[in-house]
Amino acid sequence: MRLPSGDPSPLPHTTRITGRQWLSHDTFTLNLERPPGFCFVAGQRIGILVGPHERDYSLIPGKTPEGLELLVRSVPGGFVSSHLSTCPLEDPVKFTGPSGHFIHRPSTRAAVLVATGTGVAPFAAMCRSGLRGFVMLHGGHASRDLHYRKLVESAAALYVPCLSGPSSSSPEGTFSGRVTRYLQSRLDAGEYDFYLAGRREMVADVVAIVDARFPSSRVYSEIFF
Amino acid sequence: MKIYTGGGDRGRTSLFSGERISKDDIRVEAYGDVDELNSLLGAVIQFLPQACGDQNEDLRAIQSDLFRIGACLATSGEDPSFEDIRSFPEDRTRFLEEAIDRMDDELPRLNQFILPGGHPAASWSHVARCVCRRAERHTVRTIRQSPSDDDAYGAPLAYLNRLSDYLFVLARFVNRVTETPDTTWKKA
Repeated sequence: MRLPSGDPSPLPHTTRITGRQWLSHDTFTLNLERPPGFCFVAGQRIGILVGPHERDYSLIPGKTPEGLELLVRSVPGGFVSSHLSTCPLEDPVKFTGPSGHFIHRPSTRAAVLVATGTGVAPFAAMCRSGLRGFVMLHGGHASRDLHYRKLVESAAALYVPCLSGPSSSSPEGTFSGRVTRYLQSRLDAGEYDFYLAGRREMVADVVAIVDARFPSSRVYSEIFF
Repeated sequence: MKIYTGGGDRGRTSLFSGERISKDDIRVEAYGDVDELNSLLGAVIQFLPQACGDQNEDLRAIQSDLFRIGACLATSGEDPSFEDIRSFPEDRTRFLEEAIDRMDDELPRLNQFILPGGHPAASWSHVARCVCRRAERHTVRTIRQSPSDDDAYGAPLAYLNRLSDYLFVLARFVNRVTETPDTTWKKA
């Protein structure tokens, strides 16, 4: 398989913003028009350019072939995310890419996808591109943090929402605790393909658990901030 | 942006192809050597005299090639879906050969052993050559450890072999253009 990209000095693409939906107080999806001929593999990312700043975001296919989506967390003091959260619709946006190799690799092992926060974005992209039948551990403080839940839950063979907030706020059918606790206590021993996307602390903790409990498994990871 | 993940704090690391392996695995040695070599080329570039503009461009291109070779070595050959990372173009070795020939045309015939040294860029080039040879040896051992890598690593192996020749000739070329005499080996 050959992935799009590889050009060491790509010219930026130009597109425009067609929509913005706030999912929580600090997180929103941004809809973009797909530039003509632009293609990527689910799990790849693009670099959004705002002035001299560049910030990577996982790219999600839109609900229609003409669209693209980004899942953006507005970071305090973050130049690019602040701009994307307030700039007028129809504004032009420049981006580089696609780049990256964090894509689903079919194998005989079961895929276990682990996401926290905006780390769900590459998995949303994979689901929208047809990925099915995986185990999904979706972590957040509360249910409202589980972005794209319907999409990934409908595609997963087993979907486990792991909520780390007070257990009294965990609705029925959720696992009360972090994704790491689920991996330590609930996932059967075996060989898996782990796909990890989220904060680096989560990735480091999960990798340590994989080394200890699932030593012949494979690990692919992408850090989100 | 933080570059650390903490995933390797316990002496293991992930390959591009997902396997968790020990950091003393021969494969890690091999791509570590390539990384070390690439860093040394950065030092060579900094010391290159102005008269070596073509070689500066060559070395920049070689640094990019080594980046690809490092990724290739960090990807095992058991899964065909990683062809995108593992493929390294065979014609890059030809690029080195042409660069060697261009420099060689301007050098006197070599009829004695020379000792590594001379101009700083030449001296660093010799150091890089030795690391290149080590990278090559460790790549061979990686292939022996995982025969499924034989096909994919053929082109990188040929490249590393030719690159050490390039670095030897580059050292001589730098000494030549800076009028730094080569020191010949004398039997004690």
